Amino acid sequence: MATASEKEMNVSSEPGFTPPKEVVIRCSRWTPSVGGKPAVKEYKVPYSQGMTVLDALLYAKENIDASLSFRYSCRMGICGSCGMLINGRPMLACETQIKELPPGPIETEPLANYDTIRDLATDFTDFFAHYRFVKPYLIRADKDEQEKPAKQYPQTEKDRLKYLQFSYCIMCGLCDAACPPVAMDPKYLGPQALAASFRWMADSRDEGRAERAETVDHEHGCWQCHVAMTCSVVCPKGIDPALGIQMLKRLLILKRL
Amino acid sequence: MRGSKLMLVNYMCMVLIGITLFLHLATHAFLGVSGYEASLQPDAVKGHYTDTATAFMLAVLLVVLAFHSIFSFKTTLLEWRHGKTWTKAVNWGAIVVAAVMVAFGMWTIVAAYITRW
Amino acid sequence: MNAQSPPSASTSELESRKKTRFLAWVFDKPWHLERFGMMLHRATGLGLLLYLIFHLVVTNAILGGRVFFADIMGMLSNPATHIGEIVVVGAVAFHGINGIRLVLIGLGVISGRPHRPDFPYKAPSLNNAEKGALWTAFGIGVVSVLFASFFILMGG
Repeated sequence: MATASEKEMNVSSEPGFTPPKEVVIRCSRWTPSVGGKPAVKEYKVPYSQGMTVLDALLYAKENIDASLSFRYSCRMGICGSCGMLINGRPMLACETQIKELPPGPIETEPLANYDTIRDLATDFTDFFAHYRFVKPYLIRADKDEQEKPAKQYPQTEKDRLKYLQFSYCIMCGLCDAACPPVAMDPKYLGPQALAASFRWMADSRDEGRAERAETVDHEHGCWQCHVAMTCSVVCPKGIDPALGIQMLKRLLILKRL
Repeated sequence: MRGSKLMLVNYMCMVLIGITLFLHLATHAFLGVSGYEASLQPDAVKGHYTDTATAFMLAVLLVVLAFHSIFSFKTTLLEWRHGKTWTKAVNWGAIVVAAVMVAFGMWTIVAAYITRW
Repeated sequence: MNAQSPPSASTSELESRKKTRFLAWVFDKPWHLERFGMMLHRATGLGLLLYLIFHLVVTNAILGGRVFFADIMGMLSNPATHIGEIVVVGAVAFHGINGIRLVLIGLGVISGRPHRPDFPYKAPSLNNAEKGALWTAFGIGVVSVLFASFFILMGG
């Protein structure tokens, strides 16, 4: 019988999961710069214990079709490179165990709400532009001191906890891929940038709240969030971007009152 | 107008909608009438307009509903299509439509208030 | 290292993505409770706007006199419109209660508080208070439909 912590960690020690001999992974194949339309190609990959979707893709690339393109790096859920749609849901391929997925072919597609570069690799230009737009760096009132700090900026643990979870963002882009307003409005900053904005606004060392507020207090900023909360459902690192956005709205409204 | 300013106005409209709409529905259910069908009789409906308190409540409901509904619909329209021309057209169109709604509804309320059958 | 000058504060430079998907709010996965809440909130909002316009036009008939108004009400007094009215009451109830929930979330009252995320991660914003508020909105919507059915169809 699985213990509570095993259930939480999706590790199954129960009988009932019969490892398949092979898994079928279906990948979207398309190079927009060349033209044509997206097509789906199937790869049969021999299954092994603990195999992730990334492992399956790497096997397919190394042994079956070297032209398959996707991003990856750390293979341990810290770099954020391998984000893609797995069975329609934005996930990190390196953290998605095949045995956690429903039986049957695994569908992999490029992340939604991003232009495709090739196959499963997407264009993060807008994503990073939105991130830079919210001024994701410490702002001090004295600009000279900002560039040449002369002393420490002390911060209590209580102060740190106010923004800590938002600083753990690995910029994988899954939240933006899952967000309905991002799908509809290309100018919307998106959950990642807005959560990052709150991360800096909530930092006790930061003195640039007014400057930052200008970057998010508009119809393409935090007010475009319709509280679908899908960003927090898909976030692989527990950042909870939805919380960051609501905290941002709270800050801006209370400033008005 | 800054986003937070507009949203604060929207929040205040929501609160006012909550109060006035509840009262409006109550006047058709149990407040001063005996049942839904009775509340739709011409004299009962006219009574809502000739009574100063309910007429004022309807006027407030009209204004805040017009703002909230058109403001929200404008957001949806701006998600549907993009571009400078469309954005300008929707923003101005929203003001015009809201003004027409308020004007038309106010005409009903004021005319019904001052005329007698 | 000098800080690079940030882009200007104008949002007009922020888009280059070509494709947008308007119906993403309906069809995109994953589907979960709050997502359904958002979908229903938007659908009821659009429906209620149409009803509002219709209602403003119909109530204007009071200016046509007693007989004219009675005729209009007689025309609209049929099972189909009664069912429509019941749906409107349910839509108003859900949209209103969910709207209160959204305001409370936006003001940070029931949105949870930042914490140190430890695995297995549980997002503070997906908490029992906001889920409870959403279920309350669904429940009150259903109850108000029953209530309205009693008043409208059974004569109160």
